[in-house]
Amino acid sequence: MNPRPDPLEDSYRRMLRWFPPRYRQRREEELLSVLLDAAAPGQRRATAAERLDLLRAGSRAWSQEAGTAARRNPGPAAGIAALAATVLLTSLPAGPAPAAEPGTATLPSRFAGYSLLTGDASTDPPGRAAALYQQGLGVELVDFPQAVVVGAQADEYRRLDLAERRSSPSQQGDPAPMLLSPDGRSVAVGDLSGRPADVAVQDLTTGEVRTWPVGDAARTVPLALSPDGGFLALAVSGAPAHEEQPPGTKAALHLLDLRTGRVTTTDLAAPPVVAAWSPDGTELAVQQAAEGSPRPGETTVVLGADGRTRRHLDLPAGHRLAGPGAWSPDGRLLATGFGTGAYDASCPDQGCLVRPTTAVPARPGSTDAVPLPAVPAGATFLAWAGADRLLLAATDPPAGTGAESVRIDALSLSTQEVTPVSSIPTDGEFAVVRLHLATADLAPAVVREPGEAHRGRWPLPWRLAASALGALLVAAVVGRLTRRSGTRRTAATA
Amino acid sequence: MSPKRLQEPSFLVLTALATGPQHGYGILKDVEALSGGDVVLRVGTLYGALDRMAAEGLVELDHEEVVDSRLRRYYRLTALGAEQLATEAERRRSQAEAAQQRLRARPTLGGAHGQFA
Repeated sequence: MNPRPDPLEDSYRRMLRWFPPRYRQRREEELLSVLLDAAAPGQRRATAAERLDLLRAGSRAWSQEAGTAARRNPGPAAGIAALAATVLLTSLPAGPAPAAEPGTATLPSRFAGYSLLTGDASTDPPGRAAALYQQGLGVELVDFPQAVVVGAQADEYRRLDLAERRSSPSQQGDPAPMLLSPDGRSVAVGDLSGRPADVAVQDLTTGEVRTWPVGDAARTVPLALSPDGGFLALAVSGAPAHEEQPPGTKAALHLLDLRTGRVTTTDLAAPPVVAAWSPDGTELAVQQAAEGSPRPGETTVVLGADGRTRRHLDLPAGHRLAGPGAWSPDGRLLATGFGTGAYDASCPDQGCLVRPTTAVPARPGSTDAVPLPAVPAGATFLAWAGADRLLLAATDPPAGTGAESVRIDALSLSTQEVTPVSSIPTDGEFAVVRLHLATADLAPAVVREPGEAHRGRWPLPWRLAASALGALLVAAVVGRLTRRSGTRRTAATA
Repeated sequence: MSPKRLQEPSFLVLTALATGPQHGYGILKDVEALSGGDVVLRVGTLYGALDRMAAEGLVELDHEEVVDSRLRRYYRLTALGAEQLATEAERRRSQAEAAQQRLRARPTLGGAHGQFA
């Protein structure tokens, strides 16, 4: 039996599929050998720079093959070029998308899939968003990880270019830590670069970006934005970025007032890992992790806006806060459950993927925990949708079987029914992770029928490529006509 | 006709091969060392350059071997490649020398030419 290829080799082999078959036959094993030799220690997949390099090299190899073919038989090559130009030009967006009407946030019953043509939120702001997620893990040839925001009232899809630009080398192409505000109007983006870190907040209705330096911190991870988007709970660490180190480790919790820039430090005894604001924005529930080994020493506290601890919460043994949207809209309960994975570098960013089992009382004086109905296997907490429903994320079919989509289900606390709400197609190739929903206005009826996806203006490289291709085509046609004309003149002279 | 001028990556690849045949990864590391870390070639770029230079007759396959189940191909400089590398090296040396001479002749700050009237 052949040993299973390691993920890095598998990743490189996928990239090398881009090369023409004859080239691969000649060079694939040799290129693979050099790529593996040159890989950084601990590297798990091809970096974005490597993929771009191989994409360029592959394109060059195809172009050389096409050039050889065109010299032999120019007719079909010109036809293919014209067809490619037509496809590219007709794929340009027809115009700006209609402005969204004010009202309740909804999710499309089925999201649009992965596309390289999705424009940037900074160039074409999408307006209020209902969801934010990472799509793509960089394991397929054209699978460039994207941070995607989806409109709350219309089918607007944009790449959160701010989070993609702020990605650090240790993240191997994944977007920087990111968080969608409960009202869907803004996103906060952290910084794991290890340089003097800051935190950036982008207004999704205008595209405006504001940044706040955070002293001499080496990394920042946004944990929770208050319901009105005015306060940001931020994990701040002076420790250098390290892939294996949970961002919460050795981190402090800061409360940043986004209106004034004032920073309030907190009196937490241990690093913060998950935080959730109360619906009125006056309190913050914080999951702490003991240094080095988060699980045994996990404690959960409620802080006031002054950063001081008001009370401790008693969670069932081994339970964690379910995520930034853990606090129920009526303020009574906090969703908790068992973590489904290790505390890794993206843990706070993902709400640590908790399988919810129990809601604990959030207010002082109440002590009875509320058991939640059983959730389907593999489902994890996303948000509350009203006081009686939880939204859950699950892969469909289950993880590890080449999932075709990520499902969003609703779990009714009163009827215990699980009903499908929406799904994000992955086509079996473009994984969806780090899914956040704007939770403030998610009404019980959260679904809308999807229309045509508006993706904004094409990303700049595509626009440049389309322009270059168009120019080449025009130049080729003009050149051909000129040559014919010259030939006729020569013939006439003769 | 004078030989085509070499871009820096091609110049460094040919320089890496000047002492003897090398495989792809060896060339990458050698180019990085030769340039003091300024030029870090990526694999696709290296093989694009090798293909081009092979087509121009500057490099050729020397031999191949399998090490730890991985295929390694060694490339060597051709006579034409060595000639072009020597020409390019001389051109660069001559330009550097001209720059050095002019810098030596340059008035120091505060001298007659360094002051505003």
